[in-house]
Amino acid sequence: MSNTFELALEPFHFQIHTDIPLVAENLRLMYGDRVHDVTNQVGILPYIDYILHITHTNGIRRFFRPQARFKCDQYEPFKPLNHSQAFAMLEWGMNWAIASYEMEHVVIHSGVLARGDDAVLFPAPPGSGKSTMTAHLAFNGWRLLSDEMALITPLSQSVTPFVRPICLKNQSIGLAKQWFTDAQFSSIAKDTHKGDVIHLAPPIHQPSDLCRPATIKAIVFPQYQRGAQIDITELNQAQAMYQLADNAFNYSVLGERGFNTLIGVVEKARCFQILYSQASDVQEFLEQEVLQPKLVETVCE
Amino acid sequence: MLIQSILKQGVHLHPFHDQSGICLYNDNTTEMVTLFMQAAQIESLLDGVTRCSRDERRMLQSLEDKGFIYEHSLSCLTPLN
Repeated sequence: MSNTFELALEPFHFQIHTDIPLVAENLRLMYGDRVHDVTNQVGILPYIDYILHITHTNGIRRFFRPQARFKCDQYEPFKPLNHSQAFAMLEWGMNWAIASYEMEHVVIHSGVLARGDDAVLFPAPPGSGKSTMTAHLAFNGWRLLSDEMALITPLSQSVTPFVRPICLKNQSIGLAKQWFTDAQFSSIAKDTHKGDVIHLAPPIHQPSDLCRPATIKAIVFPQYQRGAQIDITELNQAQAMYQLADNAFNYSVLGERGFNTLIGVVEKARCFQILYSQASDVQEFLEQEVLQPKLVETVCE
Repeated sequence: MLIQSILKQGVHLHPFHDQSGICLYNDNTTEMVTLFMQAAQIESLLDGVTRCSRDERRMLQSLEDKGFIYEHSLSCLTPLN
């Protein structure tokens, strides 16, 4: 039995076809009322950006160590994985689709969180603690715009929310389950190429948070090190650009507009490299030293 | 010599406001490089006013190899000792 779902994840709409019950269960658990089961019905979304399939492989493999395969508009970017990893594969597939095809925004591999409408980007490679930091802030008064990618409107500092589950790996899983006892977690995908992976449903305080953009005020390149004292280095613009470009997916496709967007972001935001072991230390620094002064200035005016 | 005069057509130059360096973007190859030097420092190397270190020469040579600057732009660099 194959199910069809529509998923309204502003600014994109997905149609998902799956015959894997684990995927259907996790979609409902992670996305709540943003996912619609439209199996054997006319869809309810006005348009679809991406048609995705996450299905069992054919033949005897379906019964002996079953596998899942992912397709985006009939293109299959990944090799099949064990079907217990199917939901994680779908999430990675959605990332892949946006990173590969999105041309309306400059896309940066980065967590994005905001205090009010002041956003901080956390661009970082895997293993830097980006998602743990994202989860901590999202459940402690910050607004989650994305755990995985910053969608920046070209030639502006405006970042568009793309709110999806937070992907946690290995040791962060236990930590997150301790921290957020009331949160919804997906089933665990064991032994993936990233280790054990789980998804954490994002806290959504107001429906308008899902589409309200924020303005980039700071960029933090985080580096987690167990037991480390917090060590903050403010980066100059050339250093920040060097690191930001490393995490940008599509500036080259957007050409001069992409280049000028990255330049504008680096020149208008404060940029830091932060070595940390406690996410709360980073939160305190950002709230008191980076975002707060602006609030105080506004009040004085 | 102004750095703009040796940039190939389609190469964009941006000097950072905080004077920490410059960024070049090549429309033809879509490649971007960030240099931790100001344009004036590079111009001084190209004019032979400042002697070029091994690293600086390598950096400028790589700009030529990657098509950011015209071939033979580096002919006026002061030779290394």
